[in-house]
Amino acid sequence: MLLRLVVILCACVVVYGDLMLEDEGNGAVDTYKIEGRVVRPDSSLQSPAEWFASTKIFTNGGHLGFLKEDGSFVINNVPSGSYVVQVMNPTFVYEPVRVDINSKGKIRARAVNHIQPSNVVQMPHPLRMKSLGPYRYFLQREQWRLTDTLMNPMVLMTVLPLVLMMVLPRLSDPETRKEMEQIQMPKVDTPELSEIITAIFGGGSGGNAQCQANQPKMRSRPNRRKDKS
Amino acid sequence: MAAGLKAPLSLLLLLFLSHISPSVGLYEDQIGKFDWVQQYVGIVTHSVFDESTVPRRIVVATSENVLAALATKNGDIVWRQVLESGENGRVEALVGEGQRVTSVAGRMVRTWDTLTAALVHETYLTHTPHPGLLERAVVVGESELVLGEVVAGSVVVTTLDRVSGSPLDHTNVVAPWISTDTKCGSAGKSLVCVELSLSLIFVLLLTAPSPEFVSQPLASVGLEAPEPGSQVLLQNVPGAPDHLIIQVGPGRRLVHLDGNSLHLVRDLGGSQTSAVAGGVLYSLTQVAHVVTLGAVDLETGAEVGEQGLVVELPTHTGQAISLYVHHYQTSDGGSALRALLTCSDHSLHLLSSAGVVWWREEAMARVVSVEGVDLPVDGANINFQDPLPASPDWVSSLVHRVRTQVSQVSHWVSLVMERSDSTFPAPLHTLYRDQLNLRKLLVLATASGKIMGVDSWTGEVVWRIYVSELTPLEGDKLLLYTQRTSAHFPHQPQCVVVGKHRETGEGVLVAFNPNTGEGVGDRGGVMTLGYTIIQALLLHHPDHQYLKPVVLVDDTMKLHVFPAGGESVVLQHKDSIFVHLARPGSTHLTGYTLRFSTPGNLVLREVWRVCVGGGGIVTGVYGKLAWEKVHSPGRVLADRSVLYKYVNPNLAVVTTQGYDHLNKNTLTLYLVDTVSGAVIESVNHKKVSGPIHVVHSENWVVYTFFNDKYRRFEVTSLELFEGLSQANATAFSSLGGRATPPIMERQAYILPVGIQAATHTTTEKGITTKFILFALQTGNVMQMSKWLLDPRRPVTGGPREEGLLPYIPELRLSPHDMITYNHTLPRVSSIFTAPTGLESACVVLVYGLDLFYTRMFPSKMFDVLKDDFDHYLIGGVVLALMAAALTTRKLAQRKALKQAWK
Repeated sequence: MLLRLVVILCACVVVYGDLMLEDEGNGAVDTYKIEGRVVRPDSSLQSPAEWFASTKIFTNGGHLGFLKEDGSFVINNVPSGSYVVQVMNPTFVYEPVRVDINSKGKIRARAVNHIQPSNVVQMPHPLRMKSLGPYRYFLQREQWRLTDTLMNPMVLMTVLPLVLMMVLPRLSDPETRKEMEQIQMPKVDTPELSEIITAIFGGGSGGNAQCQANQPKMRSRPNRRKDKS
Repeated sequence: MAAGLKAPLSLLLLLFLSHISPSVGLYEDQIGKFDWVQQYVGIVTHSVFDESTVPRRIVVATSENVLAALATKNGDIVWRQVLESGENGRVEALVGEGQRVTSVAGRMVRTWDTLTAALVHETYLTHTPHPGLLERAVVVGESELVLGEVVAGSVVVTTLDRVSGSPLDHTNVVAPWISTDTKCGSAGKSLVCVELSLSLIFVLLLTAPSPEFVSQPLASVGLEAPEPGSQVLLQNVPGAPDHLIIQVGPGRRLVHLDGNSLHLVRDLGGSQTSAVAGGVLYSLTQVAHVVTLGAVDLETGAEVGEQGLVVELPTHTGQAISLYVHHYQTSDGGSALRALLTCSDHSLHLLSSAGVVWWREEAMARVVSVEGVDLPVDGANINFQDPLPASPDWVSSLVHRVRTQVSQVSHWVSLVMERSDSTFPAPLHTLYRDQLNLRKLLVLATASGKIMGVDSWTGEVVWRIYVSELTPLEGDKLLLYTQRTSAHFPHQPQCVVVGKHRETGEGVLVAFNPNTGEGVGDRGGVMTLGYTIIQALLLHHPDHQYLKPVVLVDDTMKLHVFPAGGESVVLQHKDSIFVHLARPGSTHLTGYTLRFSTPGNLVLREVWRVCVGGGGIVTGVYGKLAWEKVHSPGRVLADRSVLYKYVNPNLAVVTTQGYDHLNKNTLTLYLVDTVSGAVIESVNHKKVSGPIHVVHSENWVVYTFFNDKYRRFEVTSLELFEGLSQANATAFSSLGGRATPPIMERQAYILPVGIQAATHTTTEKGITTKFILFALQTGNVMQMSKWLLDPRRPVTGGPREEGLLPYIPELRLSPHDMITYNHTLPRVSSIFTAPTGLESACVVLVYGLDLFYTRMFPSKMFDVLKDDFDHYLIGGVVLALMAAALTTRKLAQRKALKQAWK
């Protein structure tokens, strides 16, 4: 009986060479174990019962490992394949590790790289899981600070012109005032709207271009004046 | 049309702007403000009273593969370890040894420290379970473990070393009489089998050097020639491992096992369950909700009346299933009794001589279906809903208005008076709707047949209905429909649960008022139907009493309507009702019409049949929410043109899984129009395996699977568009026929963690950005904006649509997006979302082993002020500005006057 079974199995190997792994699933398939240790951060304030009940190691295949008193764990009953081993803990972040077990039971641990799965960065097995720090689930409430308020662009935009407006006229030094008046741009005639329109529609091509180039300059001045009055 | 479009589009832009700001998360002071969590363990199958630790605790193993320690004082969970799911994690034996407890589950023998919950020792049994295993008996010894595996025709006895897990001895005991009908059970070190056809009891001592079955007639324990086909039940007696209860039909006997022989100890006829503690046998009898524990000395058989107890259980409790009794040494030297009782409604009670010490509603550990029901409006607002007079001339409507307003004022006055003179809190069952309809009544239908109403603000159970014969339909489903909401005063709201009968398998309907938990109709609203249900659907059209009928299809393809009066509604809309069916494991989907129905004879006529095989079988059909609203009909492209969405309310996603010719797992998704049977699109994935979670809403589908090739979890997003023009902007017709098929956009992303369940948020008007909720394998529930899963995220440069981020294959999971923050939710089965009266808010209930409820604000609270909004600051600033304006005006006037005088 047993002999015949072996013969049939051999035939299978010849015909469906690469099917063997899946076919073995229901029969006796060799399983291996993934070992490691989880380092409990010193900053953990949980009681032992909370820590051990809330920390668990799992693979994406649904295998579980539980922590012993010293932080070590063993995931038993793992068939050959590639698994991502993760530590489940609500307070601390742990980096996941990919563990490859080949069909001969050789175990290799490496960093998880989902985008380039072929890129291998070896890690030691038995695994040593160290926390990257606590999870930050919560946002920080904004706190009112004077510097924040002052440096706010909206505040700057309103306060600075205000300061300029208030401070500049008070420069009581008559010389500077004179200088200021001199600095003021020479007066240009206010362009008439009708003129511009006629220039655009009626004028020659050369004049037209010039007129358009002048426009922004001319427009800016009356506005400034209005502000001051 | 264009003007009508512009408003929503600009609103969409506005929403998007609000989305860009990175923080959609919780603040630390909001813990427990909108959310609550309830932890459960499941139905207790094994328990060990642990006295070695203070405070005292009970270690229990449950049907949900959970090992937990419960505080004896109040029933709180001290710690909980969730074992592997499925058969691998089912605890078969639990043995307490001082401060240690050993559990045997599948091929794992684990010893735990009851104080710290840490694992002390784990042994992996290097022993392959036999195929075709019927029953397994486990004997946990000091240093070895004996497994007795019952297979048809023989029993395989294996002795294993408890430390290394390696087999020491292996015997095959031939027993040709063992068939699938043979009942076997283990007691102490023996395996006991009852074969009715031979009227014999077989006993096998598993620890014997060469085990062999010894038979004994059933009559020797006082069970006279039973009728063929009577129920055989073998029950262990907690506290007395060498005793066993054999029940054949009505006869119930306690037997004592002594090596290979067994003899009758006592006739336990009439009792439901028994346990032994301190040499005293406690047998439980139950009459309605009163349980009586009768105490009998096991040695002498004399009644020990003073040790028994009579306790009244809470109402809505089922029949007792199992009992564990323990004697405590009290501080004054006496002994006190504690009894742990599990009932058929999955509730767990701890009884003492004084009554029920505590009880846990473990039915919540297996919630199957959830519905959020709007609470009724307060009495003051009810009058609003009074129908207006038939002929609304201005005089009568004025009178109506004045009358309602006067009644509102009087109601408010009476409310204020009541509040001032009574300090009693309002009774629980008078829940009223809050202003924004954020408070809901969550109706939970559980696998035990218990239906519960839960107040969403507090998580308290408001009412319970226990229907002992109700059990989930095939595929672990209970259908829960809201037939009438609370918006139709004076008609009371009505819900209905569709399930099947525990024994006959025929359909059972439970109709009830979700506000009060009272059954509607005879027998408390429970209706036993004389047929098996294969499909049920709620019609969208209400009858003249605003009640939406439920249409049920039985296994002979006959149609039934509940309530029966709803037939006229069905006939009225028969042209627009279509039913589709997909039997589990089949390869095709069939569509039916009701068009050929006549009064008194509703018929289904097949109109289309789609074969979606392609090497696989149908594993799921996912429709859309019937009441879903799509706010914006299109989206604006980079060149300011509008791409219209393909919003087909009849679209369903059909998934098929199977193997292709290379024997690799494949997954195919078909988008099928369920009215016309047209396959709109299909997507095929090779080398992927489940579990597959599909989220289907608006014009998009998001689904997750495991990619076998790259060994990672992936999420794919599909989106359907009509194109740059709309065929018919006002209504959608499945039968209309389109010249061009819809455009499908698709993109896939990598998820770093696997998914337990997925759903999308729902809001009242559908304006708010949709978020996808993923319950991760790590036990967190994460929110992810649909924008991040947008299939139009550009891979290369080019003109970019507003708000689209460039494509990045791997999705980042930020802890800020974990709506459960540091709660771990194991075994999430599903997530329920419901809209509220506030457009920005959505209520979420995550259920599975635990219940977690929260309120989400997917686009932040754009229509309400933030909860930390500083009213005083804004008021102060306004006042200060006004004061400043007044003073500066005065100053300016004075200055102008001075200048005028110069």
